Amino acid sequence: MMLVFFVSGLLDWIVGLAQFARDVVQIIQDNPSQFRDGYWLTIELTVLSMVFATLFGGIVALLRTSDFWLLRFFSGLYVEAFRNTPLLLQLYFFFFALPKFPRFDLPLYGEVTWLLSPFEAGLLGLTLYTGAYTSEALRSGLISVDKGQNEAARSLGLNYVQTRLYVIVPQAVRIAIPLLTSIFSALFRNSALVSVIGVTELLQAADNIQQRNFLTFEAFTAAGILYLALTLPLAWASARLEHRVGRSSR
Amino acid sequence: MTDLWVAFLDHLPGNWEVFKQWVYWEFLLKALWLVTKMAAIAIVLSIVIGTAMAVARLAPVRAVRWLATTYVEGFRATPLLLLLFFVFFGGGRIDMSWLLNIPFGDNLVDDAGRIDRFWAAVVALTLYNSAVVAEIMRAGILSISKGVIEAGRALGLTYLQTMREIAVPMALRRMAPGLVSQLITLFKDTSLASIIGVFELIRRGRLIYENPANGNAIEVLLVVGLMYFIPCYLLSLVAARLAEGPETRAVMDATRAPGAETKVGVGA
Repeated sequence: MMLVFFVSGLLDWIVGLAQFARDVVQIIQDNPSQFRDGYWLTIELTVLSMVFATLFGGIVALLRTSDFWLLRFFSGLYVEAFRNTPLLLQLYFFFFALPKFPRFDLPLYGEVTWLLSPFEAGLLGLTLYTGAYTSEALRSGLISVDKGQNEAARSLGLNYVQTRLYVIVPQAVRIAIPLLTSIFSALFRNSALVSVIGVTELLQAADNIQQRNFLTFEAFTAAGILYLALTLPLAWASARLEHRVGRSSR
Repeated sequence: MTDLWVAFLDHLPGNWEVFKQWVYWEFLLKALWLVTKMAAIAIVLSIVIGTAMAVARLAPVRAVRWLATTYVEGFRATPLLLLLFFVFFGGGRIDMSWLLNIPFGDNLVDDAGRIDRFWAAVVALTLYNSAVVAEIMRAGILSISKGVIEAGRALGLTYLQTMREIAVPMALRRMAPGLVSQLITLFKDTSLASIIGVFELIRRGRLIYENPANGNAIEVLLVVGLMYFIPCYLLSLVAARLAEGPETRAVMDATRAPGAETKVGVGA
């Protein structure tokens, strides 16, 4: 008797799960353009801000390891300030507080109004927030390059800038790649936050759909699967790369 | 003292009027306390569930391993905001009025049996952070030399006893720096609760500056930012100090940026 109850319960559960999976697929099929546009915007934001954050983080990492204390101080201030405050606060700051700064005229450019569109504010916030993390990843790469490399390059007659650019940086980037990959994956997840300043990316698209048809679980599960389709491969790639780099440097 | 403070604010550029009055500070500090409570509850729950998941991921039973891996990989790779929406909006669709009848349960839901905003945020934070903590703890357990665990098994302890008595305490001590940095992330992530309507720091800050009589978004957001910055920065100093200990150094060297171990090799 118990067994019958157990088996029928299990069957019910499986049938319910299959029905739910069908509903999730259905909701994507019913709103193809909304999901596609949202997905595309999420990818666009993430890729753009990752490129900017890596370049900016690289510059900051070089400043943080420079010989001049003033540069070290200000780059350190930037990293600590942006790493220790929430991304949401930074997005609000760039979107709501920035326009309150006094306007002024810039020659050749015109009036600087400080006004940003939601997309621009989101891009700026994601870039500066992620830049603090990429700079730390690249800095740990720079630090772990052997001192002998620096000394060898200098004694071969390369100057400070040449040594950094041609000898230290390539090795540092190679070491930092696994960390950068996991930061990239985190950036994908963080990009969901720009929905709060009015960018219709993937999460906002799903929210719009669920507010219309009340299929809350289905809409958010669909969005979740679309996010996982990007973040899971990145997480695996990061683990694989870490393994490979760790092995080859030995 | 207050005169000095007012004079100081008068000399700052910008509109700092509201911060001359204690009520506004009280308004924000109450939110800081709320955020601290939320983070404290969530980190305790995350460490408990995360440790259980780490132990389950290394368990000798395949089905247990598989379930724990799905939990960890799934929640770790999902945006926290999505989890929050899922718990809050999804939880609002389920009738949970039965919770009203059990002790403490009436805190979790409102009178209509819908999930409370604060606890929805705690649940979402716990789901995400327990998955991350599970990964940290797994690395910690794996870093303990196999001989220690085998010795435990040889003494007649079961797998769970070995984990509970030997591996988990050692891993907790070794992974303390990682857990503290995760607490920093969690503390910052409590700000997301403002989106589902918890009156925490950012939302209260917005209430102040969206009042047309104030309209000082820059100043308020800077103060709110400082209220996040100070605890987070102090915690990051704690994490750095913990990482200096002899107990953790070996593990940190092994798990930090790969290539750290080349320090000795290439240059010599």
